Amino acid sequence: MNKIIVSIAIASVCGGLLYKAYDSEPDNQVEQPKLRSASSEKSDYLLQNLANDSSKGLEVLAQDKSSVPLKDSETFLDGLAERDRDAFGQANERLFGVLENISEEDYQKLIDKGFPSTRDFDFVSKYDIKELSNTLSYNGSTYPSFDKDSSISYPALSSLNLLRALANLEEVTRYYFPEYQQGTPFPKSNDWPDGERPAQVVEALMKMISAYGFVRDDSAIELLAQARYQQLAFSADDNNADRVVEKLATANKLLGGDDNLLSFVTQHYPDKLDYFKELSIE
Amino acid sequence: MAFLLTSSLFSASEEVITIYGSNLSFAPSDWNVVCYGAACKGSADSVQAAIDEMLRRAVKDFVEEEEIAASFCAALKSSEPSHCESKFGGHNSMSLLYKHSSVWWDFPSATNGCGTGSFFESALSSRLTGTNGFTGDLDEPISGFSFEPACNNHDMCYNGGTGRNGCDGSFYTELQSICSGSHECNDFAKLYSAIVDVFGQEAYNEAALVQECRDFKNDIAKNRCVNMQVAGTGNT
Repeated sequence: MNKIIVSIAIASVCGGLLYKAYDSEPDNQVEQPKLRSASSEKSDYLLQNLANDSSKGLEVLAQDKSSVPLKDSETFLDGLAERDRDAFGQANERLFGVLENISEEDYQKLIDKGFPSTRDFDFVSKYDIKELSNTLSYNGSTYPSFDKDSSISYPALSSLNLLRALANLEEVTRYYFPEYQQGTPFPKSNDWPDGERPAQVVEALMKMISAYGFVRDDSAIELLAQARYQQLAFSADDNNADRVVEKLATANKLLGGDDNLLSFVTQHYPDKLDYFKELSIE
Repeated sequence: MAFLLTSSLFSASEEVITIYGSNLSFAPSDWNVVCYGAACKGSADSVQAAIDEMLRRAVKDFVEEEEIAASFCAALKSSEPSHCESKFGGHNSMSLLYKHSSVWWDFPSATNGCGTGSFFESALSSRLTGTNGFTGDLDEPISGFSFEPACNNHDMCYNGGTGRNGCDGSFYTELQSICSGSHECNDFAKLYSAIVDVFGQEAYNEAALVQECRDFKNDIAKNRCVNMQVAGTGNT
């Protein structure tokens, strides 16, 4: 039986957020997910089908409508196959921990607010970064949906696109600065060999700019992705903490208060905690 | 003694500094200089210090105004930024006229809209090509929304040398204001903002070099040092 296993993964090497493993014939892919028309349906694809069979990929699981829903006490990540759990774990890490210990119900709420379902991950995987940016530029009029007939989330696509562009940039940067990590300021021009950024790095930067241009300010996931961008502190002499915290606080506000974000700020920006709280309730 | 007079077009501040040539009430003499750049202010300080030292050694003596001026010009000329002549000069034959070479320094325009002819511009063009609604005009990338004033203000901000982060932040704020809530326009605003964010350092550094030479040229001209021959702070 031909089947395709689609696994969600944050590809740390190439910056992809999703990879696909085909066992034989690409023609027999699982059909393109039907587009949802109402936000209340957004959870079906991923959340209602997190069966206990951890050997199955998400797409296969998604077709099993008789799957047992998660119990309330079970976290979203606990119900995933190992590789999918790794993938969401990495997404969680990039999104400041907002997916940490998440339940089905909570994840449903996040999807309703624009966070990605597997359809969104899948969609992103079909395009390279610049292609998706250009595609988004033609689809802004139906925001927050990707198009008028679709329940694909524009905020999810644009944010995932930026996050994978950032992952790609980090990977390229680590070639020159092996210790470079997410969340730290980008090396200044003088720090590069011969005092200028290598062409490979410039290319990664251009991709990131392409992705950044279509991330709006209207949903929490977009603001979280922008906060990651702000951490690079391109034009700042310091770690750009004010702008990072401003993005996080606005996201926090849109999420109705998120303990994981509060925890992140407490740990990484303790001197900005009051500022974060103040902005979160404005 | 220094006090702020007014804001200059190209500089954060213009300062008038008085150099005193005597500490004797019956023989007052002083000379005012106008400074834009730090080198000029430093020259004034050093000349004043030299005079003070000289007066300490010869209490009844005093320095003529012309001598103060000559000393100041000599000090100012010796503080010429090393890159100015090579970057903006190229008129050595004119030195036969015994004018300071800064007279012929040719600077790029302080503002140039959203195009610069640099890598920044090529990056912008490259990125915008293929973007929905791009008009092909960097000053008005989307029809009906001119980014040119914001770009010019951003140039001026870089010239002022008060820090990139503030300039880049203000640039995006101004673009958003121009866009007036149009999402399509805001997409372009974000792209422009990211381009200056990522690639603005070179332009900022260049602006600082240009501004340093502008200030020096202004200082030479304002203080009538253009024609003055070099002289030291010798004895009267």
